[in-house]
Amino acid sequence: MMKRFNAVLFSLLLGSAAVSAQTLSGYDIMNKSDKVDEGKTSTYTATMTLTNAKGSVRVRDFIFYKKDFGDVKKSVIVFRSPKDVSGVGYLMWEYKEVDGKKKDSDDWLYMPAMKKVRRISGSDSGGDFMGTDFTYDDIGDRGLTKDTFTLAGEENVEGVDCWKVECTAKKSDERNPRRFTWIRKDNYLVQKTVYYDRQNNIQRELVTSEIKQIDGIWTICKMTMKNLSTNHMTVIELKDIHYNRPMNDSIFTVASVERGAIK
Amino acid sequence: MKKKLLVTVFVTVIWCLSGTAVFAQSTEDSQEDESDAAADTAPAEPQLSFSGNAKTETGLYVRSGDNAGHFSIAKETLTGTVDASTDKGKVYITGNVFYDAIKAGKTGEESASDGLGADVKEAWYSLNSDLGTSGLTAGIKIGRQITGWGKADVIRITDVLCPQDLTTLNAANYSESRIGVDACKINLSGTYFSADAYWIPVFRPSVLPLENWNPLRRTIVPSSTSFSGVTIPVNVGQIEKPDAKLANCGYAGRLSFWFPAADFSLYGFYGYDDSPITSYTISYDSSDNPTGVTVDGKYYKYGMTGLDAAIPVKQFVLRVESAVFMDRALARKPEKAALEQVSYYRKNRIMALGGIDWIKDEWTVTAQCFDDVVLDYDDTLDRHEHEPGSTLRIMRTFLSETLTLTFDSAINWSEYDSFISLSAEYAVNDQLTLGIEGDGYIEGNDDYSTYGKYKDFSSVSFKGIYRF
Repeated sequence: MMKRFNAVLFSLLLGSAAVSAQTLSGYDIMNKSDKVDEGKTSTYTATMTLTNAKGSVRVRDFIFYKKDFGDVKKSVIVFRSPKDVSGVGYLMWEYKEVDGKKKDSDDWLYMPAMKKVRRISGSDSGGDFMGTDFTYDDIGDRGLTKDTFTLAGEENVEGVDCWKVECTAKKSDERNPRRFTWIRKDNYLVQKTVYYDRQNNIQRELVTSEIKQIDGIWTICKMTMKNLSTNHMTVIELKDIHYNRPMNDSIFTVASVERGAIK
Repeated sequence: MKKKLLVTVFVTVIWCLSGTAVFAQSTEDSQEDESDAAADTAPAEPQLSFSGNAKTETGLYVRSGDNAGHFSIAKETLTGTVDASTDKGKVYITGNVFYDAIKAGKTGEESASDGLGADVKEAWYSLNSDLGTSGLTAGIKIGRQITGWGKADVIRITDVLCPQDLTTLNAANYSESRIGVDACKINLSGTYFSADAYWIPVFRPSVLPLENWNPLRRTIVPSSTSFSGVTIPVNVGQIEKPDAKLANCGYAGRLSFWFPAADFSLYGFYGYDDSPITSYTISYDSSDNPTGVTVDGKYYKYGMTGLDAAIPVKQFVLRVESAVFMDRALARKPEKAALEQVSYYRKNRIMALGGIDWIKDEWTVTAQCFDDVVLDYDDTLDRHEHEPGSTLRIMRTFLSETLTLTFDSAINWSEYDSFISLSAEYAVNDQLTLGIEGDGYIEGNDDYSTYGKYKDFSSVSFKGIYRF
């Protein structure tokens, strides 16, 4: 079941201005990474390629729209393929963190076979996103209140200078209670993340690539997530990316999703 | 007369929408310098797509009884969908061509022409237009359309707009049993609401398994019955549909709100019940001995008003739904109807449901409790005064959501009869899905109760779907 896809890839993918030389704490770095410019509106089409341990490949395509309304960010996803999920629509209204607290998002799911929209709990989930190796948590806007951050050093990853930040979940029963994230010094983009399971073994590894500046905003156009325990891999590639284009508010309504009006 | 009226309504609505579209355009023009001025991001260029699937289904009745070992389903279905859309308009047509091997063999000798069939599930045209920049949209949808109402799963409360195809057992797949209703829908929607008004000019009833070859016929009409100590045959006579005229049109409306804390909707319907009330005529020979019973059917109007709500609470979503059916014709017990020649009483009826959903990682659990009450109950009605029930669904996905195991159950607390289903569905790849399902109907205190009457129809079925 699809959940928590609002901030979708953007919280991982977007960059901002170059960093100053001042010394930053782990929290400062993650805070700046969390607040990178996403544009007032954004849209893209995405292809998710899932490869299992035997090399069998499945492909999912969807279109994404997002608009920042100030106190709430609204986004909508509509799947185009494969045929068994074609037309499935997901609408999410996500609220900004206020005083260190983040209100649960409002989520609706449209299933074409049912011909109606279903309200979905916006509460947290560590489940897989649409059968991929990404969880809703690590592709959504996790916020900063669920973890503590420690600067673990500085490293060069694939020729890029990065800060290495250890992120420890405040709740020990989370699926990935610990992860290391490498944040690029030039634009605060995520360069790499390694996720640990509850037994403190490396479970998954995320690598980002194909970084471009689109409409003046740094964007990572490709992400590869490998699950080392299952040998399953998911590659997400973004195309037709646009920022700050006019978008009618009606796109982000339940009625619009229910009508199947978004393509 | 009816055609003229339809054309007038259609032209008027199109004219109104065109006018609003022009107004919206001029509004947008005046604000084009503003960075956040509204504009459609929907594709301006027309899009045409064709998709479909080929499905094969085979099943066997498994319980002891005269059905055991017989095919419950043996059907090949080819479904095609055409979707053509512009930025405001859309044409959508979907239909089936099928070959039903059980129907083909209904005379004892297989006849391919008897088994072939086709139906149009949906065929509609819609036109929608944004009214300015703030998310307000007006639209019209004309043609055969399937609409799902209500927050309940499987249990039909406010979801009365579309009739059902009841010729096969589809207890675990309620949404597939719905068939399109020929209607004109006008819609106005905004950020937090949607208001829909329906005009249903032509009545379309549910499709009942009344043909002799269909084993489900016995759940509605037995092949014979005992009368005055004599066993006599039961024949199906006329099922009388209302004439297509203005006075027989149906009307419906829905007003829905979607707020951060909760969703809720109000519903109204006035029109014909999609299931007929049966009446019974006993024929006698010259010696006044009963020789047979003829079952006729007639459809009756009623009114419905209802509401529902969905409230997210942490990891749960609470759902409620209720409806009052006013002056609904309810069938009397066959023996009373036959003897007194009064086949129904009009009564007010209330249905109410509460449900809870829980989704965590690969698990989905939904549970529901409901009650169905007849006010001013009469003992001769062919049902209980209260018919409470519960449903439970537990679903888990495996292997990156390629394998889905589902447990479905339902119980009718008035007679303790129940339904249990176990199914597994595996996506071999993005095109091919295979499934196996076992459905069991368990009788309670009464063999003719909600699920008990299907006790001889417990089955195991296999299906394969190839999507293109």
